[in-house]
Amino acid sequence: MPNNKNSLKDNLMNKIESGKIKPIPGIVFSIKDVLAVALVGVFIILGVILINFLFHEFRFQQPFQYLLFEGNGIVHFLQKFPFVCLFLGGFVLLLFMLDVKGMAFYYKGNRILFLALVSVAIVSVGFAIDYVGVNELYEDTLQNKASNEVVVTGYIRLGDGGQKFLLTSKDTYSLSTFNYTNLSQLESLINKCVIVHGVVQNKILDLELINSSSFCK
Amino acid sequence: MPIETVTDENLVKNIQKGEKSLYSELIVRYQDKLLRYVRYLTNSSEYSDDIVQESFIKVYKNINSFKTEMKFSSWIYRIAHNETINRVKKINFGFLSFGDDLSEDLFPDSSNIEADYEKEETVKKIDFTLDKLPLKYRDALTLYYIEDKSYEEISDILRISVGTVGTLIRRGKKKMKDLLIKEGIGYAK
Repeated sequence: MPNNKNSLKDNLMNKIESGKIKPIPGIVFSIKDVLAVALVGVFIILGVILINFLFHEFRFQQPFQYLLFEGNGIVHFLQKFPFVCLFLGGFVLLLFMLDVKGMAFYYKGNRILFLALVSVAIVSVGFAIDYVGVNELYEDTLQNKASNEVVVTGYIRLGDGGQKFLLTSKDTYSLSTFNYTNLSQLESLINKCVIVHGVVQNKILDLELINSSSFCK
Repeated sequence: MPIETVTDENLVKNIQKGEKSLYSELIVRYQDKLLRYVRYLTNSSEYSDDIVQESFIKVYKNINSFKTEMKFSSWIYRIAHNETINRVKKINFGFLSFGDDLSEDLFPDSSNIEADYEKEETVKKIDFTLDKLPLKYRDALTLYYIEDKSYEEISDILRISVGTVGTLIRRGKKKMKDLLIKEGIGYAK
């Protein structure tokens, strides 16, 4: 501990000149700044997603209607209410506040007004996304994708005259086209039976060879 | 150009470019001020030297994060403030109470700007009562009356709004007045 003015200065300057104390490179602070701003964006997007999900749940589960039944209704209300969403939303808001806490516009300006504006913007965008039916569109896309996909596992025998067909435990597929990554190996399998696992999607078969076998006839 | 006439911000610019030796000038300029500030906050000479030294080390390590468009004095006081608060938390002086809700007072009261004579009187009284005040009031009053910082600068140092600075100073003065009356020292205004 320095006892007087000069000893503190000399002590520090000795450490600085000898390189014991080094400044942190500027790039580290630039990255921190970029990350802090990027995080603000991430928190806003997360907030919008959560609010959108909250409105979606309200629309489909209608938890508030259970309150009309009093007694038992409250139990159903508590079961249907998306508490996880609300908790995550609060957590994201807390992280958002911690992130912007050090930024001059936050502590110099009117914090309450700022938070109110951000909250209103997030809730409005979240509501609008749910209202225009983006959630349904997403669900439809997922359903279509799932219905298009048929997982097959079974035996395949490749004909040598350009004829290719697949035998599964349940169905027989006649296929005009399929994907197979190792073509040279495929040629060596012509007229042989192999056990395969694959997915049929949009009439294209994606195969993965499991084993060659002499089991099928 | 003599080094004494170079602004803090220009000194920092050159230190950022690698002129390490210029840092000694910043130490000379701020050593006494920071020591006085930290002593008022901690009410302890034992720890203040140590805190100031740690603050200068932090300032040098983080010198590349300083953006020259802001005031260097606010930045260095901010680091000393943080260092002091961390130390106070560790040692537990028992005065820490920054969590009070001041959000109801977000707008500055222009009538808070004191006349010079009143300010001098207040400075004298601060010495009597400051160590008895909670840290948040002590911090704001020290920066305003002892370190002669503006509301804007205190807002940057404590990272609170200008309105809250005004509130802290107003309430701190009221608490001081109560203490002075209680101690029988008297209060002019």
